[in-house]
Amino acid sequence: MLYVAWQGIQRIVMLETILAQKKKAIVGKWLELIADSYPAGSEFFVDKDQFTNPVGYILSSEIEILYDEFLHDQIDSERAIISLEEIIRSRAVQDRTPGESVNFVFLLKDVIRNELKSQAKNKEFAAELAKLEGRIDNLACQAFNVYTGCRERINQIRINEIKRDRDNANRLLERFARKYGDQTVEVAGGYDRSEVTE
Amino acid sequence: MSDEVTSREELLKTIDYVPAQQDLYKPNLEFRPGTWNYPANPKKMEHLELPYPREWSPPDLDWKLPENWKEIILKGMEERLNRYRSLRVYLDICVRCGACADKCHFYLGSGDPKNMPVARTELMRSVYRRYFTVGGKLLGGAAGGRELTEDVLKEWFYYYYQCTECRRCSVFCPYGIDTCEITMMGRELLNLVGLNINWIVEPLSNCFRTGNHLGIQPHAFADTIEFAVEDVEDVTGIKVDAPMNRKGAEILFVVPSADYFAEPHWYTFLGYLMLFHELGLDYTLSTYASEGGNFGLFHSAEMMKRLNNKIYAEAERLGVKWILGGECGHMWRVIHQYMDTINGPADFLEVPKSPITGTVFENAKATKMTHIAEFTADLIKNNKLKLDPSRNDQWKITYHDSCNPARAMGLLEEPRYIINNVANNFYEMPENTIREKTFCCGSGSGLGTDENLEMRLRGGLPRGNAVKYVKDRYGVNILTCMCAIDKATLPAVCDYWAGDVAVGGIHELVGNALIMKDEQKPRTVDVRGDPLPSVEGSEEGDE
Repeated sequence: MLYVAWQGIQRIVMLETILAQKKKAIVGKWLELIADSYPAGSEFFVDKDQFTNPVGYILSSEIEILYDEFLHDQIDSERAIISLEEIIRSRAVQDRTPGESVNFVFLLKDVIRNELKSQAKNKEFAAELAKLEGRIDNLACQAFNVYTGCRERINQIRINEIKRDRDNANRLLERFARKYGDQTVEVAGGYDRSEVTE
Repeated sequence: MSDEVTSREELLKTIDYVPAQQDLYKPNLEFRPGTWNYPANPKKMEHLELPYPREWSPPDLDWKLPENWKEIILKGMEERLNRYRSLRVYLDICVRCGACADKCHFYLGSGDPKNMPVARTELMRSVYRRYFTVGGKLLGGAAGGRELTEDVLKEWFYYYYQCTECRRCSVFCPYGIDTCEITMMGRELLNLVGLNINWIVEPLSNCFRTGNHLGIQPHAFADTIEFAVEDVEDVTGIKVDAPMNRKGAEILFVVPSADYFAEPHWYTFLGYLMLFHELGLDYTLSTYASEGGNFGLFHSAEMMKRLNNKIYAEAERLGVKWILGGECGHMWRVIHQYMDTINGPADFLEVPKSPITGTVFENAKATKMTHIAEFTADLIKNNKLKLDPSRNDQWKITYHDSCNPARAMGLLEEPRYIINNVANNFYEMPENTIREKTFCCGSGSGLGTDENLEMRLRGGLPRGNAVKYVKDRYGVNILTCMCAIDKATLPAVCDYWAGDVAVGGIHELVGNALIMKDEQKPRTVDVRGDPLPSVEGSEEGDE
């Protein structure tokens, strides 16, 4: 029993080692697939300057970090969450459904399977690979949490804007009331002179 | 860092050189909530005698266009092609080099290829080719021409109200094509068939009725100024004078209406009042010219002319010598680039001359209108102000070059000079995001509504990203700017992309730092009413 478990661990370590060695190719292909989901395609990712193409820069650098966290089984780590936030913040305001905003995580499965074609033929390896893919599923759950957080933030910002407009008006209304006594004044579209007389 | 991910060569190999997956000539007709502005209220259109007022909504199939809409648009195009040589030149000379392609904040935020300025122009250029060039008339699509259909018109509405007319793309165009002017023409044409947005039309209507975009009537304007005077007294103990409609004053002072209504604009307004009191400036505000902004710029040349004229008519009526303008954005594009030809010459005014330093603002020779940043920078340069920068020590400041003062009038150094003299902690954002390359707030040109928030956040991404950088690196906690729209909309951009960063104006900082002769007691709060970080140090003057 112990021996079987030990063999399983060994296979996972071996898979992780292979995946670490193939990191550059895997992350590169992952980025390529993600790029395809942008209407402008991969041209959008040619410029990876941090400031003149923030989306290109963030995606290129953060998926690499995410990949490392995935390899080290750290998909719950603070750093992984930050990476997801960085990536999803822009996707949450683009023309995407919730699913389309987070599905980039699942693309990693395709890339890895493709890279590990030869190993995956081996039944035992295939079982361990499925375990590794479980990490990706968990990462997708985290991604959905982050996406929801972004949408909630947008709604809160919208509420704050409306509140601020109301507060601007109320601030003046209160001062009008202090100056002229407690009379009703209409804010929208200007003040009605007949109602605000000394 | 990026090299470690994928080398440029490797990435280039992955690029499919077939044009982008989306067919640029196929109209995009998805109107998602959060990405468009509400159409104009028909009543407000009637106030302005605009054509075809009606109830309609972008997601509707039927936009209730007039029957001969196509004829109206094509006739409108013809008129404009004949009137503006620039329009014909811009439509003819683009070689699609792509220099502008990745310069638009909406493209960078959305990845939508139709937001590449070249592609946005192509929406109109294809129609121009089809109907106004020989090749297009004969060969149609083979010559890059496109039939004008209702779908094409709908797409114009979507994308021409998705450009903030910031003109960043034009900085990079080797031919000097001003894509903003294409948007302006697109909007003018849409107006001809009654397709406008309320956030532009209602302020215009308000401005006609009451003198300002917000619809504040003269007596309420007078009251709000009185409240500002009270607030200055609360901060400084000094009751300043804020003259209004005073004939014979030397200077007419014009501000965007948000300055005396909204926060954080209000604090900048307090700064103006404090500065003018300290100088003993002979100036007046006006209830008639109570708006510096000009939403006409976002509507049509005719509307821009009508609104701009009010300021000059009032200057003439009051008999002032020259005009001083507050911290506004597009107001300065109108003044600097259009005023002289649409309403000039303002030969009843004098070339602006600072009564304090004697400096003559030769750059304003044509318009007779000077920007307050130039005026204040000149005061500081000539040692006319006593300043205590430590009163701004609560702030770690960065500066957002508001598009129009920066790109339309080249006002790059003055605001920085002022900030560096009135505050101790100033940090620039990265070079390719400031000055003439500044990224727009994403909400200019009448798009700053809450219903359009998602689109605004897309457009605000590059600016917000740069703010986040200086926040993380230097602990920046305030983004200063010189535009009323910026002050109203950048709080949302900062909140979403950068986190907790306040937004403020330059003259808010001036108001804080200004040591006033009549102050009896050390100042304990800043113009926001928040306690000063070091009350002890605030009395020690430092020029």
